[in-house]
Amino acid sequence: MHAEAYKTLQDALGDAIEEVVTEGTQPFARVRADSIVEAAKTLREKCGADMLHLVTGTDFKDRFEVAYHFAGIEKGASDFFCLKVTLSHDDPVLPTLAHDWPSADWFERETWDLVGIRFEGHPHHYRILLPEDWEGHPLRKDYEFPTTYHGIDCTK
Amino acid sequence: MSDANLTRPGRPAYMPPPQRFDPELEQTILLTKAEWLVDWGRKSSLWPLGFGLACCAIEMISTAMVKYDISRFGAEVFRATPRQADVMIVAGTVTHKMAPRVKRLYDQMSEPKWVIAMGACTVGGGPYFVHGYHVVKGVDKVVPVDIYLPGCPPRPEALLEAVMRLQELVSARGKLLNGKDPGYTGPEKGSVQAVMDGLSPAEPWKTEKARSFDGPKEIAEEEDKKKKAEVAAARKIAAEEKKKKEAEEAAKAEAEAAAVAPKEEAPTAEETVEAPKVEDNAEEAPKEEAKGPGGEAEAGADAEAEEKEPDADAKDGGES
Repeated sequence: MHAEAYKTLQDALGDAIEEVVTEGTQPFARVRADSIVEAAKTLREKCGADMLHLVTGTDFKDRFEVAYHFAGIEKGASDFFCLKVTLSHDDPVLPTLAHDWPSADWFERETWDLVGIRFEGHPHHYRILLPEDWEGHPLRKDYEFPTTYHGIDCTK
Repeated sequence: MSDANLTRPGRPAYMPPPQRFDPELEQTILLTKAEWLVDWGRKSSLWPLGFGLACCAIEMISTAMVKYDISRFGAEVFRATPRQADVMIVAGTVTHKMAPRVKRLYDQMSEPKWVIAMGACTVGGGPYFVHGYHVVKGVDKVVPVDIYLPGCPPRPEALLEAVMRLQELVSARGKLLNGKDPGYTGPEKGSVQAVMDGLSPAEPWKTEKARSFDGPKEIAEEEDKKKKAEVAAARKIAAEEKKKKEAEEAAKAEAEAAAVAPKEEAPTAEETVEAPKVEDNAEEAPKEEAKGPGGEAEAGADAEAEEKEPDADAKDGGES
């Protein structure tokens, strides 16, 4: 099932698929950032993915990675496809999936909130967990802890 | 003796000893101070503001259920609005996002009001103290706390204990008003200490004991002395016995040495068995040592193969 989906994806997108890893516990395909919307669309229309159940962001110090996990509920596949996108550390920007996949709305807000990856075209692009006046994105490796927040001492 | 020591069983610490009146009159009239009465009412009907923020809330809910039954203390009326509540039980992790809400709800409570910080998170940041960016390191940075209740989460019994301590605190208020601090308008930080210092006995059972013994210190000292003397005597006896044993052993060893010395020229049966073994089977000898009695079968077999004296078998059998 994995192999078919990856093949379909490669046929449809060609160069936009940078890398395909079919071995290991979590096979994935690495997609160029500007064609993530198209890749997700292909997965839905041709491979039977009908649910985006996780979007995560990771800071690797020199780059960011965003992973999208898709499921095919009708096919009975709970986590059958994973797309990964590599982003530069200076200006991590991605087109949003929130219009096609409503579940991406909160996931992308969370990724913005904690890791600081912008999703262009997102309908509600603001923090979801932390207070709105919070400074920085805590799950970044270079995050500096606040010393005070609204007069509350955060050091001890 | 200070007022604090006037506690009697069944009588609160802050209540003055009753004056004797006409017994009939005493049956029908309760003489007291209005403040005491008000405080008694307050402490017997502490209405908590249900403030469950995390896992501690489960224990708080459990405390309110039949098994632990917080209504025994008149504190079962969990209010959903701060305006009807007397005590805020902050049960769970307070994040920086939640902190302004906690403060706001506290401000909306009517005086007098108290706060119980329930659980490690509210006491001092909890497990997130070092590594968390989002947790307030103790709810006392936001609102004044009267009772700190550690635990992760604390058991319902612990929460009941906190409620009881708070009751003591509430009832100590009248005392503070009357005696020490005229400007006192409500319990603040440090007033817990006042309770602990003996305005109201923190551990009534101890004062009870003290009363019944009339001078616990002296008795304790005497008991201590007795115990020490007993221990010292026991140690003396043990030391003497040890000395005796040692002397006996020394004497025995001497006697044995004297007995063995003349026989040394004629080697014993054991030595005749062991000596050739080591020489003939140098490889097996260490094995035997390592195995101890377990290696006896092998050793016995060796002995038989070499056609040694029958003593060898007897010795091996004897070892097991």
